[in-house]
Amino acid sequence: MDEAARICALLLREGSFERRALPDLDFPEVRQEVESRLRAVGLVLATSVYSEHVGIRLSPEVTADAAFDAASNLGLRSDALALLVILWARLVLQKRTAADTRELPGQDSLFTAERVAAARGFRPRVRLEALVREFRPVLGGRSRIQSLVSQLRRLDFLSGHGEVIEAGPLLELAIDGERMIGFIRREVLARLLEERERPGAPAEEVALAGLEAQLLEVMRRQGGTAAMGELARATGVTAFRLRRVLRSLEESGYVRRSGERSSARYHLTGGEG
Amino acid sequence: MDDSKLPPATEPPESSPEGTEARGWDGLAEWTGGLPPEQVEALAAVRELEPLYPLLHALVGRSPREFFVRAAVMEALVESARPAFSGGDGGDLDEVLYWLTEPARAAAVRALRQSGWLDFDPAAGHTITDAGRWAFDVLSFLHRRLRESELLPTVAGVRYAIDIGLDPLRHLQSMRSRLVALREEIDAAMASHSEVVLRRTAEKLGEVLTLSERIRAVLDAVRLDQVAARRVAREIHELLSRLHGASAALHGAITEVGRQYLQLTAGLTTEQIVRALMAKSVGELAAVGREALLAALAPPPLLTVESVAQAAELQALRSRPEATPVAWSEPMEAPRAADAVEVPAEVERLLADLAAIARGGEPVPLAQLVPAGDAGESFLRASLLSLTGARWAGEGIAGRLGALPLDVDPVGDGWPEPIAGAPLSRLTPGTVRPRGDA
Repeated sequence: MDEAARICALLLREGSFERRALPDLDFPEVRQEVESRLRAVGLVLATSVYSEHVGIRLSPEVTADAAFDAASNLGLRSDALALLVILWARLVLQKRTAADTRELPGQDSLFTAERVAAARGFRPRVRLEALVREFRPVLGGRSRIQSLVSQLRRLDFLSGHGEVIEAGPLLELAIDGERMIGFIRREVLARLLEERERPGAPAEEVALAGLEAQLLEVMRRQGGTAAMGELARATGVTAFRLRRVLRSLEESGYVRRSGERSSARYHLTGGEG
Repeated sequence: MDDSKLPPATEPPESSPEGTEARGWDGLAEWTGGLPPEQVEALAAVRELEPLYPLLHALVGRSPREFFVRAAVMEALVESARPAFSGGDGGDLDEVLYWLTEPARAAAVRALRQSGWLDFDPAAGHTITDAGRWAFDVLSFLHRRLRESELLPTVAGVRYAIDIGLDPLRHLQSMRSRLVALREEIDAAMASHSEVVLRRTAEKLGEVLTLSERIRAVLDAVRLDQVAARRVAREIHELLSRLHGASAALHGAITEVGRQYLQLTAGLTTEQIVRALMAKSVGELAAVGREALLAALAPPPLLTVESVAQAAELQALRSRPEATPVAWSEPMEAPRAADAVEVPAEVERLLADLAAIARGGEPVPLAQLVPAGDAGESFLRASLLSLTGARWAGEGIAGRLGALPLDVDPVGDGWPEPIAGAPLSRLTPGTVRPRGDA
């Protein structure tokens, strides 16, 4: 059996496999052959720079059928999907951040090479008790949440044992991370703005907070980057006023500026768009 | 209810030299040095509370008793859900307010009518006005707030009870139960390992601890003769001290949990994200999950007819040893202890000697009875003599000794004296004599 066939068989049998156990996949010709064979049967290779696993997904041509629903295909109901979103935010986002920043919680004295290796091996975890305490009103009682966790573990979205929940291979490979990051940032930002808009906040501050949200939304729609003129046209606010808001967003880390004066452009920082 | 028979309401008469208008909003200018109250920010902010004045005024009455009755009457009338309340004997008011005797019932109804909470129509009877329903809403709101873990109203309640000379026991018990609940919440938060839960609890604890000085001050005002209240106050003092200690532990846990998370991109924290997600419904979260979910392929069950058949064949051919039949038989009879008590020969000899004395009818000196055989046997005989003739001595040897009709009469103070030619060198002088032989 040639290597490409062996890899395809392994992936079909397991659903996902550790990347280091398939070193041949790093050879471009083998990978190309694997992708070609999978494509022929309506599948694509699922990989992510943040994951130590590779998996397979149905190809976009297959899932483009209006009758197809990924959640139903996996037997995931609303509460399981909701838990998936929550755990993605708690587990995958942390791991992605560690990989991007090469930092680990509580460890900052390692050498660069060690930091990279440690960040790659970082496995965020959350305790079942924490989930129950935080999301009981949303997801139901402890036994309900526990059964959802078991279901997601069976499907390889989660791993870990007992009380300790860790990310499984599919939590990274089978979730559109960019879409999740966009949602999380919008929601958190909206909440922060809402808190600032509580009674007692000066009217000008409330207006500025609203403008911040509007600006971020405009930039997201425009692919995560925009010039001052574009922002002014889209929001109907003067450049003078926008500059003040953008400076605030820049200081908060939501926005990055490149170029000077007329060539200045504003970009949403990593993870957005 | 006959309106003409109603006693006067308990409204305080306007006996103050100040007129009603002068005591209203416009009269405030006298107290602000002529500055219109609208221009004073603090006063302007409370202007919207003006409709509350008649409500509170009508509700409070002149004593806590009137307050209780008016609030209870209003709640009972609204909760009875009747469109109107006929008066007179056996009318709706009598039925709903059966627990209130006259003239208190009539006084309460009259006060509520004068406050504009009830309306009276001779044809229909009493009806609840919009103001009355609003008053009910306010009361319901206050009920809910008090049932929640708000501590401040309880502190004020204790202070008020003390000020008007009531025993604050029930208020203090309420305060204690809230502090106990908070203590339990802290324990649960510590066990949760959730930064959100820990921070929320810490916030609540912080609010309580900022009140601790006021709480302690109000506890110190409890009178010495209110014994039960003082006891509860002591418990509250202890609880507050424990909560102060728990505060440090809670903040330590927050720091510890916070160290487990990285500061996420764009300055977001995991705690902020979790709080935002907690505010969402299942439907909203599921919609995002459904959108973001990619079509992962779940591994299919790779079972073929051949593999199943092979596994079945192996199972069928597996050698199974025959189970050894169990041989059931009656077990050996357990050994039984002899019925008779084995009595040592030395004791038998003593019993025979004592029986002989009982039969002979003559006293025998201890120096003659006790020494026998060797020193050990003599000592045994001396020690058993104390049971002789004692009818309470029980069963066995003691019972047999106790059944003998003998008395032991030591002589002197019991100090042993030397004896010669015997296994014992010294013995207390005395005799053993048949009972009744004085």
